[in-house]
Amino acid sequence: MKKLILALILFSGAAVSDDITVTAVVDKNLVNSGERIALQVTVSGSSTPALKVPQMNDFNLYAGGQRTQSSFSFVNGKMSNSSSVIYDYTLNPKGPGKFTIPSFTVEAGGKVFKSAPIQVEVVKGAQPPPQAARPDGQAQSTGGNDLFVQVNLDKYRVYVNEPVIMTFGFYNRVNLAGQPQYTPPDTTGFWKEDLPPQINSSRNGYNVVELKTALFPASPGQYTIGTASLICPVPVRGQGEDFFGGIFGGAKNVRLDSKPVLVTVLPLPEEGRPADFSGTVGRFGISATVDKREVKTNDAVTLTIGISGTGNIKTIAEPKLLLSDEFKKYETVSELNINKDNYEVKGSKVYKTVLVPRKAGKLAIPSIKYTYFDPGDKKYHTISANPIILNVAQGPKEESNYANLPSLPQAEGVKVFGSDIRFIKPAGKYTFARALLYKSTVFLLVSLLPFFAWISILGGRKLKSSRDENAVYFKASRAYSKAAKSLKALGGGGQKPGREEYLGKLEAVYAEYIGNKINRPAAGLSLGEIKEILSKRLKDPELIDGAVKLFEELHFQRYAPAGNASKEQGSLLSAVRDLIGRLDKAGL
Amino acid sequence: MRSLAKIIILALLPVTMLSADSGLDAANKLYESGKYTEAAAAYGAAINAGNAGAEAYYNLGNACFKDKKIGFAILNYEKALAISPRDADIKYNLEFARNFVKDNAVEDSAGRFLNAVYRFLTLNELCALLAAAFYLLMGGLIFRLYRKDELSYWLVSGASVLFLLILLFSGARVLEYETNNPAIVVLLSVEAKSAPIDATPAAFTLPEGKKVYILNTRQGWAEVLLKGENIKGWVKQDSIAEIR
Repeated sequence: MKKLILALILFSGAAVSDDITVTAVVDKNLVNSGERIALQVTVSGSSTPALKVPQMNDFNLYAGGQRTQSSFSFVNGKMSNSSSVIYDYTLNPKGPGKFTIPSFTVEAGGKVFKSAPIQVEVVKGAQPPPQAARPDGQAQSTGGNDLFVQVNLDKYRVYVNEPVIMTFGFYNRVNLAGQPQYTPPDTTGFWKEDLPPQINSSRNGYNVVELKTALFPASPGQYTIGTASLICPVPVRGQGEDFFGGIFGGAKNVRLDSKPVLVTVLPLPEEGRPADFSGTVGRFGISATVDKREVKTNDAVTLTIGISGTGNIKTIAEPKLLLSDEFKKYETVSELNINKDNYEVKGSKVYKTVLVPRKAGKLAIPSIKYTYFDPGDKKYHTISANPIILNVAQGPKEESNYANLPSLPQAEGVKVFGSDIRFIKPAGKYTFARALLYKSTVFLLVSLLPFFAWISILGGRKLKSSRDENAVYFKASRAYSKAAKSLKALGGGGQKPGREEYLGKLEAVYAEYIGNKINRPAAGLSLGEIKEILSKRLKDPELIDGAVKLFEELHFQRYAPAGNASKEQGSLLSAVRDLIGRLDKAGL
Repeated sequence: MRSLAKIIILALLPVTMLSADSGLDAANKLYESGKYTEAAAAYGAAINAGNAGAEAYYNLGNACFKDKKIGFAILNYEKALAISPRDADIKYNLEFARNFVKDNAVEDSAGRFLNAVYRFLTLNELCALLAAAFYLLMGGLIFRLYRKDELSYWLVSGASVLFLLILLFSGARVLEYETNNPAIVVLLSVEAKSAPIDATPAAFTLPEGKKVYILNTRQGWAEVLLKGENIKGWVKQDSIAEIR
C-alpha cells in the first residue's frame, strides 16, 4: 500500500514537472568589453526546482539574488498553480569575441529542463561604459549623479550572531517612469531579518529611500555582502523626434549596482564563557511565573519562562529546568514574538511547561538561569529568574489503596483494569474445622485395629502350634504305659477271646504304640513306612529289624490256620511286651 | 473388620458439622450492599454461633479487607486456609492482602513451591492418610502370615516405605503445629519492646498484617518471634490475634 502511494506521488510529481520552463534573457546581445550584461533566468511551472548554473569560461558571473512570483489561473475550469523564480545575474565578459551563454538547467522528476543558449558578442570597447561619479564620501555607490544606490552597514566588525543593520539607500533627483525593481544583495552566511517599513526622506536635494535589513552572522570569518541592484525605468528626455516618445515615456531601464561590502565576523571570546552558554548574543532578561501558587497534588501548574531582549530571538535555546522528582514534567511548548520597531530586532521567546506536583508540602521550582553574550561590553552575562515556591495541598488520592501494588500482567487480549480481592463465597455447603484426629482416642484405637488383629492372629497361631507339639509329646510319653496296660488287660483273666480276635487286639496295641511314638495314626501304616521312620529315630538296626519282624509275625499268625506252626498266644504277648520295653529304652 | 473401622472413621468426621445458619446469608447480603463493617460483625456473630467454616472465615476476611482492616483480613484468611488449604480463592485473597503489608521479609524459610506442597493437606487429612497407610501395612503383614510369597513381600515392603514417609511428614506437621503458635498483627504499626514493661523504649515496629509466632504470654503481653527477621520482642496481647 505504502509503495503504491509512493509510486502515485512520484508519478504525479513527474506529470506535474512536465510543464516547467526555463528561459534566459539578456538585456543586450552586443556589448563593449568592460560592459556588463544583465542576465535573467526564469524558472516557472507548477514546481520550481533549484537552478543549476553552468560552467562559464568566458564570463565572470555574479549572482544578484532571486525572487519568487506565484500565480493561480483557471483554464477550462481547472485550477493550475504556477510559480516562477527569477534569478538575476551579472555577467562580466573576460574579453572581446563571440561567446555563448550556456544553458541553465533544472532537474525535476528525472527530467532535465534547459534554457536556450544565448549568443553574445563583445566588441573591443569603443568607449568605456559610463561610470558614475561618486557622491561625496560614499564608496559604495554607482549610477549617475541623478540616481545612485549605496549599501551601508552600521558596523563592519561584528561578533557571531551580533546583528548588523544593513541599509540599502536609493538616492534620486529625477522622477522615475515606473517602480524600480530591487534585487537584494547576496547575504550568504547571515541570518536575514527584513526591517520594514522603508524610510522615505530627502537629503541634499535627493529623494532617499532606505531599506533596512538586520543580518546575523552565523559563523566567524570574512564575508562579502554582494551587490544590491536596482533597475529603474528612467524617462528619456530631449529626444523629441518622436512626438509620442516624450509623452508616452520613452523610458529606458537603468541598472544601479552597489559595491560589495566586506564584513569581518569575530568569534565569541573563549575567555569567561560559561559552560551553559548556548550561543545567544544580545541583551536579554528572564522571567519565570506560574499560573497558580496554591495547588493540590496531581493538579497541573503551568510554568512560563520568558526570555526577552534585543538580539537574534530565534537562536534562544530552551533554558534548563532542573526539577526534583517531586514534580512530573510534561512537554514544553515555545512561542516566539519578534518585534522590529525602531529597526532593531527585539522580542521574546516564551516556554510553557506543565508541571504536576506529586507530593504535598512546599515545593520549590529552582531558579532558572540563562547565559548570553553582550557585544556591547563584550562579556558573558548570566541572568536568573527568582525561584518559585508552590504550596501543594494533598489532593484526592487516586486509588491510593492500590498504589503500591505490583504492576499487573497484561496478557494480549485481556486488559486488566484494576484488581481486587475475589468475591465472597455463598452460604450453602460449608467446610468446617474439625477436631484434631490425632488427639482423638477413638481415632487412635481405630487406627491401631489392624495391629491388634495382626498381633492376635500371630498369638493364636503360636498357641495352636505349641499345643499341637504338646499333644504329640503327651501321646509319645504315654504310649508305653498305655500299651503295657492294654497288654496286661489282654493277658489277664476273664474270658479269653478267640485266637484271631486276640491276635488282632495284640497287633492293634503294638501298632498304636508305634503310631503314638512317631505321631502318626496307627491305621494305614505300612511296614515300609514304619521301617523308614524307625531307622531315622533308632540306631540299632537289629532292634528295627526285630520290630518290623514282629509286625510281620503278628500279621502272619493272625491269619495263619490255627495250630499249624502257631505260636502260643502267651509267647507272642510276651514278645510284644519285650519289644515295646526295648523300644522305649532305646528312646523311640 | 476394616469396613467396620471405615464406618467408625466416617462417623467420627462430621462430629462438629452443623447445619448452615441463615446468619451467614444475612451477613452476605450486608456485604453485597457495601456495608462492610456491619457485614464483618455479622460474620463474627455467625462464627461465634458455631458456623466456623472456611467460607465464613473467608467472607469475614473479605469484609475486613473492604473495611481496610488488613490485619484482621489476613488473620481470617489464614484461619480459612487452615481449614481448607487447597482453596484457590482463599489463597488468592490472602496473597492479595499480604501485598498491602509493608513487609519485605520472606514469609517462610521454605520456598513457595515446597511450602505449597507442605501445606497441601490438613493435619486431619494427613492423619487419615497415615492411618490408611498403617492399615495397608498391617494388612500386608497379616496376608504374609498366610502366604509367604513374593507378592506379600513386596506388599509389605511398599507399605512400610509409604507408611514411614507419611509418618515423617505428618510427624513434622504435628510437631510444627504443637510447637508454633502463629498470630497476626491486627493493629496499625505496633511497637515491640525488649521487655514486657510499658516504660521500655520500642525495639522495633510491626506492620499491620505481619505474621508472628507467640512464644510466651505474661500479664497482657506476648513475646513474639519474627521468623524471617529472626528477632524477638514483647507486644501487647490485644495488638495481635492468634490464628488458632
